[in-house]
Order: sequence, then structure tokens, then C-alpha cells
Amino acid sequence: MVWQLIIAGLAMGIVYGLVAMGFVLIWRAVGVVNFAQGEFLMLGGFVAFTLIEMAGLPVGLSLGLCALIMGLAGVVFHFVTYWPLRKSWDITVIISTIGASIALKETATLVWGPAPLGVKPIVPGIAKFGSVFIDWQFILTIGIAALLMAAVFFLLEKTYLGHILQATAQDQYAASLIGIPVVLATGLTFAISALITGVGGLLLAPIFFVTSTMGSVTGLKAFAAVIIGGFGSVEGAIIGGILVGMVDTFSGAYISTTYRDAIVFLCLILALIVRPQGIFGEKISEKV
Amino acid sequence: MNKKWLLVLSVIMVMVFLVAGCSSQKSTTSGEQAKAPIKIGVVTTLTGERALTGQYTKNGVLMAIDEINKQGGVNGSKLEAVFEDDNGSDAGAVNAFNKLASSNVAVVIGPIYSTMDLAMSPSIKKAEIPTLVIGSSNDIAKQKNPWMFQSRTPDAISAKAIAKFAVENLHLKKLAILHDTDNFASGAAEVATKTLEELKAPPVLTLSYNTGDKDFTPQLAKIKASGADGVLAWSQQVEAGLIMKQMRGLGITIPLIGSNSYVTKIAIDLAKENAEGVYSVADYVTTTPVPKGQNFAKNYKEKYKIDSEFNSAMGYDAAYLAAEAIKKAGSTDKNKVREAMASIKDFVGVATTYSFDANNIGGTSVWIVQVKNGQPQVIQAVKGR
Amino acid sequence: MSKKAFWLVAGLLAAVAAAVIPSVASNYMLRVVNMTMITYICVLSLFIVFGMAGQISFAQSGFWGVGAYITAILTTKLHVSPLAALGASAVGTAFLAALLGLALFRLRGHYFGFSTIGVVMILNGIFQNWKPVTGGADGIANIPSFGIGTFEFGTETSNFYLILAVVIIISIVTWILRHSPLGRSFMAIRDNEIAANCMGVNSYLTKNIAFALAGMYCGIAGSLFAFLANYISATTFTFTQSALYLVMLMLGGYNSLPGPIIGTTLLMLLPEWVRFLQEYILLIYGLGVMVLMVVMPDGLVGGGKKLYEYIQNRRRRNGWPNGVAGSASNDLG
Repeated sequence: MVWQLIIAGLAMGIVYGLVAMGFVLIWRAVGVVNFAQGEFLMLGGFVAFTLIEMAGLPVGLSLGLCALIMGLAGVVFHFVTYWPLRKSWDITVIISTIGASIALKETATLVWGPAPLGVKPIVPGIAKFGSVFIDWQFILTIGIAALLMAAVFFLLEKTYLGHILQATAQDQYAASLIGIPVVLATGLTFAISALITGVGGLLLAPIFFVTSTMGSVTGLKAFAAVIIGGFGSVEGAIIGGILVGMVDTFSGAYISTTYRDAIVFLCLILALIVRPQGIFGEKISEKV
Repeated sequence: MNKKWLLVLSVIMVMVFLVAGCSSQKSTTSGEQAKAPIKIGVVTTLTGERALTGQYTKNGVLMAIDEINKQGGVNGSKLEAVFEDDNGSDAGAVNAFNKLASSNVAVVIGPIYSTMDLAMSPSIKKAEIPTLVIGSSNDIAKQKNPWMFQSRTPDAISAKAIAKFAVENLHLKKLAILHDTDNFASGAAEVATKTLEELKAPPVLTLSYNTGDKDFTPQLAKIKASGADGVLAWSQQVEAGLIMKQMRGLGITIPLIGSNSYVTKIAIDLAKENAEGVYSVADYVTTTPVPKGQNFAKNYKEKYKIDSEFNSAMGYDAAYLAAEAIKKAGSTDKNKVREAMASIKDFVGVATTYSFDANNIGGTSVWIVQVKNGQPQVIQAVKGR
Repeated sequence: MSKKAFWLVAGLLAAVAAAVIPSVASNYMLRVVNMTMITYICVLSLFIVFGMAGQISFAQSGFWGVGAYITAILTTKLHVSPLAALGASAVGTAFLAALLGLALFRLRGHYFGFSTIGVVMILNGIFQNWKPVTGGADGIANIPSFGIGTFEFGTETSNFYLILAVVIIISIVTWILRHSPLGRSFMAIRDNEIAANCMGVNSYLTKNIAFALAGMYCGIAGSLFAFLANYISATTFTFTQSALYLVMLMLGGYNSLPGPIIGTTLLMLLPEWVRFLQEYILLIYGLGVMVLMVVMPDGLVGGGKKLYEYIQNRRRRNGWPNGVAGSASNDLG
């Protein structure tokens, strides 16, 4: 049983990790918590349904199109919630993302209806390793998540564009002084964040079904993952996600199935008290 | 000084808003003749996370009202359904009910979520409007509210039936119980546990989860490790689909007997081949042997292009019961309607036969159903009383 | 106008409104008004801890729940008098908030806010699952109405007056607080915590006081809610509800007392006026919040002030004879 739990915890951890990565990217870029991040997951799921089930497009094309659509969605989101408020108090942006989260959920219900939707998996079937079972789709998700994480890491650390994004994240004013078009940098970061989480939604749609609320609690738990892993880094987000997935699964099995959510949030509070900057620490020091 | 005026101004503005808002709601049409339509209020979830079940209930009610009106209406008047959204919350349900109560409705149909029904109970008592709720919790009857009627067969009957079927028909001795932590599932699980203990087959494991959970591996892994020979489960539709999928996905092949959600089209579609062989204790399935129910299933599919399920069946039956009560009373006088409703006996609905007892409970039976070739098939009827 | 005359007029207006509302409003609308007032108390709590002391908190709806459950449990299981239950809710919730504050205020800035998310989620989990105490998913039913001696506040109208009285008292207390040294130390912390510490404000202790006070407000609101609705269940006290309080506060304006009044009233009553748009209400609400943040980031009060100042400036520029000295609009009071 323990191995099955480990695998399940890992799988759920990747889910949280994909949302957490999106959180961290936006946080690093503009210092704001995006309360609608979970809704990017939901949006990815609905886009997946539209492309794969309704339009019947082949898998590879769907994946690519979904990434594109989610990237564009991220840009739109950026201009609607962040850009007009970039000079205001950050609370206003948070409120705006809360409003966006509600609006997105309702739009999804109005457009796709309230019924949960199934999407056929990219890789069907269950893989069996000894006494441990796992959906092949989950294995694919873990693989793609790893790829995405590597890609983001490569982008941010090794490319010129990535350095621009990092520079803008550290100090928007200074970045603009040296000629970096800030709007491009922040817009692109939002796009990447939405893309990653949205593709996560597409990959997970066959496993968890698509509903307008699939992002809500997941979003909050992913938020806990970010805190635990550290707000500063993308690696921290993934590690935090996996940790939360493990805690979620194991506390469900060994402590209490009903209090498992509460236990995750208890860990959030404990992590904040013991090590507020998270495991990987926050790269940007808090402005006093 | 300017700030003070701002305060005063804002307070005045607030007062104006309130009064303006209030007075616009007060207009109630008073004293009409029998030719004006009789209003049936419906509290249902139109927005938010639970909008799916609310939509189904609405469809069922509308279809019933339509049919009744085509046949000439009730007491010479047509029926009109007035829907109010409860936003999926208890407080919202109370608000919706209060709104309807001040809009001159003859009867109110309440939502399928038992906590909302319980929340509405004090208001129902104060307003003295006959209200048919379609939640199944045993707590509803415990309120002893003479104005609140529970049309749906309560958990006391259906949960007992599920336990009895598992032990006596499927010969299972070591059952595991899996249930949502919401009011409906928890209450039903309690009744089932008691029944199992009476049948000398106490559950080996009782596990729960919260609505909205997506991963049931901890619970299912424990069930697998416990050596249980069957699972009794109570869930909402999405979780039912997920549980069936994940259970079979983990290689757990023991029989699963679930609540009504397990044999709805949504759950079966989501779980696909994993739903095969699953049993359920259901209020209603599209393949019901009741002729009225078969008609309902056919007409519903024709009209709405999707399959009916128990929420719509409950709404449909509730609307018919309301009409029946008004017809029997011969008027919309609330006391007469209440008495008439309480006296309804052996009324055949699409889900079950309704006979209101001293506790204002109407539903009398449930079906035992099994999924065969992707379709729910009725294998047994269980009469509660 | 002299100060006395001003307050006389304001008091008269309030009295008129109080007398008029219950007679023109239906039972349904009265319930909405009562819920609005209860929500207003919670938003006021956020006004203290966030608007004044600058500490964002998502725990308020959890505290609301704590107050409600304390009253529900005391009156249904221990048959305590309603007045005592109200007091217990107020004190108990304040105590819990203080306890949590002691642990959590070691966290700086936004980290404290994140921890309050954890608090509300945990509280909700406890409400939903601790069956022997909170009734679990069943909730607690048959809570009696509030009463003093033999008089029972059983109707919507009597509850209206009860809640209105509490609202007026609490609003006055808050107004006094805002103009008191304690209130000023709250705002000092909000504006610059380090500087405040340098000037002798013990920020840790002061933040705790603010949080405990806010907790007390929510406890009172919870108690009143339990007496009003006679039934409570965990699904009412969620993170989303806390987020709503924040939206109401920001919408109205976080910096002055009219703000919470306007924000709460608008967001509670507007959905009732546009009920006919049923399926679209939430969508409009979400979009509306986004738009309003862009257009009026200081809330409606702030926007109103800006408008007022704009008009004043126009007048001055056009040589309006009344006073040339610039109006020093200070943000305090």
C-alpha cells in the first residue's frame, strides 16, 4: 500500500506543482499573488475538451493549440488585471484576480454548461508495476511537467530573454532604465504562467474530468505548495507541490481522510512559522 | 467638516438605496380571481458550483407544469413556475424562499440539498407556506415542521435498503463504507452502519472524503488493504464517476453499491467501462419499469436532448404533487393546501409512489439498480413502507 | 453648520430610516437587510485589522463561524441564556484571534496574510467534520432567537432593530477608535511598521490587539447570525466569504468609515435588485470587481473624494469666490 500512496502522492504533487509554477512565475515577475491561477488549470481543461472532444483534433495539434490559446489568455489576463493597476497598491491587483477567478468560473459554466465533461486520454490505460497501479496519462503528465520545468529553467537562466524577464522581475524601474520594454516582459511572464498551468489542465482533464470548480481547492493547495517550497523559485514550486501531494495523500491514509485538507493548511502555517521563506528561499528580498 | 458631510451623504445614500430597494419588492398582487395563474415557487441552484443539479430540477419542474397546463391546468387556472436562485448556499436558499414567500405563491418546491432545506425550515414555519423539499436527509422530518413536506424517499429507507441488499442478496460480510462528508451522505452512512450492525455484518472500515476531492487513492488503498469484500458508497455525481474509475483503476474488483449518483448518465459516462457491474440504490433511473417513469424518460430526452436523472425526476414529481394538493384543496388557501398535501396517498410518480405519513414524508420506495452494458437496469424494488 | 446641529440632523435621518424600513420592506427584504448589517460588522472587522492596521486577513469568515458556533452550541446544548451566549461569542472569538495572533504575527507583511488563508481553511475543516461538537455536515439546528429576559427577538423586524442597535454601537466604537491614540498607532503600523516601532509603538502587541478586536467583531456578528437564521452549517464560513469581505472593503474604500458601509450595502443589495439576471449575476459581479479596481482603486469613497476635489479645483480655477487657500485634505479622519 505504501508504494501506491507514494505514486499517488507524486502524481497529485505534479498537479499542484504545475499550478504552483504558474503562481511563482507571476509572483516573481510582479510581486502579486494571482488568486485566479487555479482557474488557468480549469481553462486548460475546457480548452482540451473543446479541441479534443468537440473539434476532434489530433492530440499533438491539440496540445500545441492549447498552449497557444492559454498563452494568449495569459496575455489578456495580464492586461486586464495587472497592467492597469501596476502602479497601485498590490492589494488592488489581488482583488482584481479574485474578481477574475469568479468571472472565469461563471463564464465557463455559461459557455460549456454545468455538467462535468470527460476528455479522452492521450495515452489510455493503466500501467501496472508490481502491486502499484497508475494511469499512463499520469506518467505522461509527469514527463511533460518535467519537460516544462526544464524548459522554464533553461529559458530563465540560460537565454537572453530569460535574463530580461528576471531583470524586470527584480526591479521594474531599473529594467526600464536600461531599455527593457517592461510591458513585454511582464506580459510574457503571465503568458508562460498561464501556458504551463493550462497545459497541466489539458493533461489532467482525462483523469479528473473537467468542471468549473476543478481549480478552486487545487489552487489553494498549490498556493500552500508555493509557500512551503519558497516563493522565489520554480524548482521550489515543484518540490513544494510534491511535498504537498505527499502530505495530502499520506495524511489522508494514515491520519484522517476528512481532515486531510486541514492538515495541508496546517503544514502551510507551520512552514510559515518555522521557515517563512520556504525551502528554497525567496530570491527577491522584501522591500522595507 | 467635508469628511463629515461625506459620511452623512453616504449614510443618506445608503438609506435611499435601502428604502428604494425595499419598496420595489413590496408590490404583491393581492386578491386575484381563479383565472390568474397559480404560482408555484421553486428554490433551486442556478449559479455556482452546484448549478448542474439545479438545472435538472428546473427542467423537471418545467416539464411537469407544461404537461399539467396542456391538460387544462388546476382548478381552472394555469400553473406558473417561479424560480429563485439559491446560489448554492444555505443563506441563499433562505433568501430565495423569503422572496418567493412574498410573491404570492401557493406552494414552494425546495432544493435537493438537505442543509438548505434545514436552513429554510424556520422561514417556512414563519411564512406558513406549504413547501415540498426534495432532500433526503432524515433530519428533515425531525424538524417536525407541519408546513415542510419531504417528497423524496428519505435515507432511513434507502440507506437501509442498500445495507440489506449487500448482506442478504450479495452475501457480503465485510463491507467498507465510503462517503462524502456532506449532510446527505453522512446521514445515509450512519443509517447503513446501524443496519449492518443489526444484520451482524458490521462495516470493517468507514472512510470519508470532502466534496470536490479529486484523488481517492488514500481511501481506496486502505480499502484494498483491509480485505473488505464490498464497498457501500454515497457521493455526488462527479465524485461517483471518479471513485468508480479510480477503484477499478487500482485493481479493486469487489462489488460496489452506491447512492443514486452512481447510476446517472454523467457518472457512467465519466467512468466508462469502470461503471460496469456497479450497483446502486436509486430513486429513479431512465430504465425504470414504472410506465409513467418510462414516458417521463422519453419525453425528457426529446425535450431537453439529454438524459433525465433523479434530480429532474424529483422536480417533476414535486410539481405534480403540488398540483395535486392544490386540486384536492380546491383553492390556493394555504391551510387547505397543506391539509390536502398531507392527505395525499398512493400518488404514482415517475420515481416512486407517494403517500404522506404523519411525519410529512412522501416517498415510499427505492430501486436496486445495476449497470449492465453501460445502462442502469432495475433488478429489484424495495418498499420502505 | 455647527457640530451639534450636524449630529442632530444625522441622528434624525437615521431615526427616520430605522422607523421607515421595516414597514415598507417585505420579510424577504428585511432578511437581506439584516444579513447586510451582519456582513457589515465583519467587513468592519477587516477595516480595523486591514484598513487601519494594514494586516490583510482572510480569516475573518472563520471567526464569524467561531462566533456562530459558540452561540449555537451554548444555546442548544448547554441552554445558556442568549445574552450570555452573545458575550461568550464575543470574548471567545477575540481570545482565539489573540492566541492565533501571538503565533502568526511573528510573520511579516504578506506572509501573515498567507497564514490567515490557512486559518480559515482549517477552521472550515473543523466546522465541517468535528461532528460531536459542531454537528459536522448536519450543522446545528433549532438555535433559539435572541432574547432579553422574557422578550424574544423572534421576528425579522425585531431582529432588524436588534442588529441595527449593535451596528450603531459598533460603528461609533470604531469611529472613536479611529480617532484615538490606539487607532493612530494602528495606522502608523500600516504606513510604516519600522518607523512606528522606532517611535515607541510595540507593533507586535498592537497588531495583536487589532486582530483580537477584529475577531471580537466577527464573533458578535456570528452570534447575531446564529440567532437570526436559527440554523448554521459549515458551508457558510468559507475562504470565498472572507475574500468577499475584502472586496466589499476595497470597493467602498478602506480608509474611512463610510467605505465599509457603502461597499457592503452595494454588494449585498445589488444582487437582489438584479435577480432577474439570475445566471449572470456572479459573472457581472466578477467583472464588476475587476473594472472597479481599475477605475477606482481607492474604492467608491476614494473615487467620490477625487470627484469632489476635482469639482473644487474646477471651481477654484474659475475664480470661485469662496476661499483661495488650498484645502489641505488630510487622510486622517
